[in-house]
Amino acid sequence: MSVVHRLRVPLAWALLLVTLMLLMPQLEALFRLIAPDTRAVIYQRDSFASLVANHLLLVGVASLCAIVVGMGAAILVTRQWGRDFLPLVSQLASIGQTFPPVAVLALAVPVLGFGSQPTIVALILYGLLPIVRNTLVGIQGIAPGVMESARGMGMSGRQILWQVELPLARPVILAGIRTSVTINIATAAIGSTIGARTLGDPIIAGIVNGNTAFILQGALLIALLALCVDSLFERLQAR
Amino acid sequence: MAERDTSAPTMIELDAVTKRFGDATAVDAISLAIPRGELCVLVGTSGCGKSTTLRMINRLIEHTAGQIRIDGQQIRDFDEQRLRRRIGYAIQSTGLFPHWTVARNIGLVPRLLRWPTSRIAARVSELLALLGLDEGEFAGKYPHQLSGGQAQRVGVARALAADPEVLLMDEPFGALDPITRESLQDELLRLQARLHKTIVFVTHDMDEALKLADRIVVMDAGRIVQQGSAAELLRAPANAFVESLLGGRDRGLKHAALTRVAERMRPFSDAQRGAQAGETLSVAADDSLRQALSLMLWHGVDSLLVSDPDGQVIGSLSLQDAVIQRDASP
Repeated sequence: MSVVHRLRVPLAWALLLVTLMLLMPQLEALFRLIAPDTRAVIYQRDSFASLVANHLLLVGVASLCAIVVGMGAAILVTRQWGRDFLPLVSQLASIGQTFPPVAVLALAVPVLGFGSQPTIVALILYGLLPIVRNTLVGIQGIAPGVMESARGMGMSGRQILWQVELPLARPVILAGIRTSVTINIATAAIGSTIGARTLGDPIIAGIVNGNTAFILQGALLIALLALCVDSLFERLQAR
Repeated sequence: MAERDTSAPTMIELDAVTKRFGDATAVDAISLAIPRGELCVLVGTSGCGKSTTLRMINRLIEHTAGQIRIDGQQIRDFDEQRLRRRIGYAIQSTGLFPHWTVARNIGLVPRLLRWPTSRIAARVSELLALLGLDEGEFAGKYPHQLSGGQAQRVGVARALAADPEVLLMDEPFGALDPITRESLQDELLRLQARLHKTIVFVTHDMDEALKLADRIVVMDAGRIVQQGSAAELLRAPANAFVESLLGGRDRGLKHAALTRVAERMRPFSDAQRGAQAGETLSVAADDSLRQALSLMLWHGVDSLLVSDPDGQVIGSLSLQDAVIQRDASP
């Protein structure tokens, strides 16, 4: 009960998302108003449910990789022996962010071909910066006295990391992951331009055919997905 | 001041210890032997190497040359984490973990040493009581809910948690207001009278050093300028630097602060005791001469009654008694 209560906002968004995803065909009359001149008003090439699932899968896999790589790199360069690599890592992460995702896709296609793989690579690169940056800020922002007494009390490096640094940096790291995942939910739609099945499919189809209703259907579901995941992180951070 | 037991074996020994940071020499070949149970205060201006010296003892800073021994054993022979768990450490910013309760903070080192949970809990209760913190009120609080003085008490409790023989304190009371600082200094002296730890205490405040130390070690530019008891330093400062640390012309008052009224007063005979009912101005026998002089100055009188802890008048102190030490007791 209390879990349901605490998660009521994300659950409400999720409910709205699932409802819209399943009942989209029933809203034909509504979308007819937006695009009265087109033949098909509801996107039919794939079920919305499978697009949402695949979209989530891409973002999930990419975010997981970005979290492991991003946090791992940030933790390594904040150790005594990894400090030399600190400027390099923060620069690399910044470059990842300044690259437009479309450019990453264009560059990834010759190497990895069309489909999901280049999309995931692009999403990982794109999602790294907020995670690396926030993990660095979170760990470096811990009061020096806390770190000094942790060492002075005889904690090992591993104990300091797990019992002091990560718990204290947690809110900042979570904020970074939240930014990364939310951005990537929107960015993943671009994967549709190189053949990944995402919620970008109806949007691309809509642009190509001049069908505003398709665009709206894809955009609505992406927005709901982002809101749902974002509010979930919001609850996680508030804990 | 506590009695100094010169027969006590050396607990901490520094032998020509040097620390260089690049080309800069922070600590220059200092040697120091601290007997077991002594409260040794390192004092000096900032940058004199006193904190560096302290942190070399628990290897937060590795010394460049020389030897440091604890209980006869070189500190480099210990695993550094095991060494630190044997040494209590308290710092000015307390360094309490903000995400842990007071009880969990205090239990840190016992947990690192894998004490059974029940023993840790018992030890935490014991320490809270020892530091005058009510367990029901404080055990579950977080550091941000504590005042500066309370947080520092918790910091000291945490340093004492695993009952270490050696305690290192780096300006622990430096950030507190004067009243809280004084009460914590009294508390430390009270604790030390009971626990007899070997304490190395760093401060830039000579008054604090004079009050707390069995032995004061004055440092300047990475070297030991002078060491000795408070009285020895006041009587014969080694050079102008030590003299200026001692407050120059305030030296007399600082010395008076170290002398108890009981040492200078004229005790009353039983017959005299009854006759003093009219006068009200009195000092306690345990008060310092400085407090007595201040009282005389303030009230414009040249003699005071001296009372014992029960409020009984036991003697008198005249201005002349206070200023000039008599050779023999009357």
